[in-house]
Amino acid sequence: MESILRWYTPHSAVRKYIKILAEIVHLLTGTSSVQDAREEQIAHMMADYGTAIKRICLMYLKDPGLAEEAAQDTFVKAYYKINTLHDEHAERAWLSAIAVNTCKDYLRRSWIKRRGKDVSLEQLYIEPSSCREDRQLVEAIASLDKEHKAMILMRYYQGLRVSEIAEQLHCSQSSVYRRLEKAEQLLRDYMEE
Amino acid sequence: MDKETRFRYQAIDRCLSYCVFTAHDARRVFQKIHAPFPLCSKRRIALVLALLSLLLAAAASALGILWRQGLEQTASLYQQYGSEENWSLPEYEKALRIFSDIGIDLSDLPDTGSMDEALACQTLETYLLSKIPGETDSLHERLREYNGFFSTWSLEEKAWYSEICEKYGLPYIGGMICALPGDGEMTVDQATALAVQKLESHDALSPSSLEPYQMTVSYFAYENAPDTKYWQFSWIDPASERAEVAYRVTFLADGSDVEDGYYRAKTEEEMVEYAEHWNQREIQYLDIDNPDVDWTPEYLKKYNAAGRQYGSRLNWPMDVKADLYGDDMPSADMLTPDDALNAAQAYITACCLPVSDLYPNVRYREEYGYMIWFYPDAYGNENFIYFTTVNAVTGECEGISER
Repeated sequence: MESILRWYTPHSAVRKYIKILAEIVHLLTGTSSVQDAREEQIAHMMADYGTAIKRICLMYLKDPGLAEEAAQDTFVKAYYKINTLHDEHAERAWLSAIAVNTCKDYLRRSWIKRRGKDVSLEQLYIEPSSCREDRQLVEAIASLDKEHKAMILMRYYQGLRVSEIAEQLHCSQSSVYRRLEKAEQLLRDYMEE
Repeated sequence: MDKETRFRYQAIDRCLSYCVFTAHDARRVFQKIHAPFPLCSKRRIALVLALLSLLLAAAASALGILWRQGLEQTASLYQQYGSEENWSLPEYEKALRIFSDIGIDLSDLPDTGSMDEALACQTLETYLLSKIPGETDSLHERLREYNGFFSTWSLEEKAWYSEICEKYGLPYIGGMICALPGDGEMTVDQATALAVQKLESHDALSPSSLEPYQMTVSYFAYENAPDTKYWQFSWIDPASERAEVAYRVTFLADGSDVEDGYYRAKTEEEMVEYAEHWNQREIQYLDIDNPDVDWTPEYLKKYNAAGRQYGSRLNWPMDVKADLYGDDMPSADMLTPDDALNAAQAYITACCLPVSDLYPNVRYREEYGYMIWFYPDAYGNENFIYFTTVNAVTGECEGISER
């Protein structure tokens, strides 16, 4: 009889429809009674993490205008997804993952793809007064592909633990370790050139 | 992460120190939150509404397709294995899957793992029957009525189901082989106009008389005369649970009248008048447990009203039964009717007699206590199988009378 118990729920297609309909209804009806509390929470997050998130977006998109839009969109998404944040100590990791995914979405846009991959230091608007080592490292990180860049930014810039990155990016810790190792190797290669 | 590494990677902050999240950014975030459609809200909303209607239509269509597939699969089960009495667990597993695929919630499926096969089959049959309200004991018929009463189906659905009956050897409903009108035959619109015209003329109806009703249509031939096609239009009371027909007209495919082609439901007054002509024996058959009732027209009116409100007389509330039968009401310190029924069922079961498939009628009179009849049909129209009385204070069952 176990085989019977496996599929006792309504048909998955029906459930999917119900979910989509509920989301559309939510979209059309707009606000709720917890709106104020959510806004307050987002305001705190922007104050605490806004700048770091914007810099992650800049490292990813290499365009200050786009980075500004992406950083704003990160907090808009956070506002609508706030109920998925179950551990308030994981805010930094949670926001970083949203920012990384927002930037990936931006990079999928056709006109950004056409813009080209090689971005010079000037386009990154790196502070001219920065020391040479810092400039080299930032340039090296900016040159990484998006997966490895995400690892470096989340682990070393945001200071997240491997377990936090794995949880937010929905992958195993060993996978994070492997990608980090590879990313560090790529950075070393870039710096030695 | 050590301090040195942390410091090293803070190069990003040092190099990008001009890049900060400003008050302007924060304002823009809240603007975006409060204006989710900043570009062209009307167009976005129109798009969402269009998508919504498309999804609703797709969902309805998907459910319809799933239901048809499920109904055909049960028909196939019946063809291969016969009706439920002959099924074993694999067939019930198939039936459960069919119900699940249609979207019927089976989250409270009982665990039959520890039961022997006969009990598991019986449990699953009862469970599946409970999932779709209805009066038949056949899973296929219950599933068929999941789409509403057959009479309310569309012309196309009726034709499709007749094909299923033919393909899997199931009996046609009412002996009618439904079909769609062919080329050169009257169209549905033409037949509808003719039906309304005939009905208005026959019953002197005004055009607005039919408006409160739901029109249903069938195009069919009787099984024993497959070459004679009929149109049948019914106007159903949408408030009635059993799709009761208010008006019906039937005519031949060429538009000509047939004998007894018109039907109109009787009004309350006509029912009372009609009842006066029945002989006492016929009336008593309506309620075989109550030979002593004086079936006056007024009484019949009250009796019919209870039937309309509560359905089968077996399910009428105790106060209604008390009023109509001259029964008494059990006091608060006595057993409840449900407790009395449980006691009676336990007693009958202890006597090794089957009782689970029977329909009880519980009544109470001071001199007898609880009187409980068990019928083989949900309306109590057939002779009862057992009769027993239960002491309303002690719960003791005082013997069983078998018919």
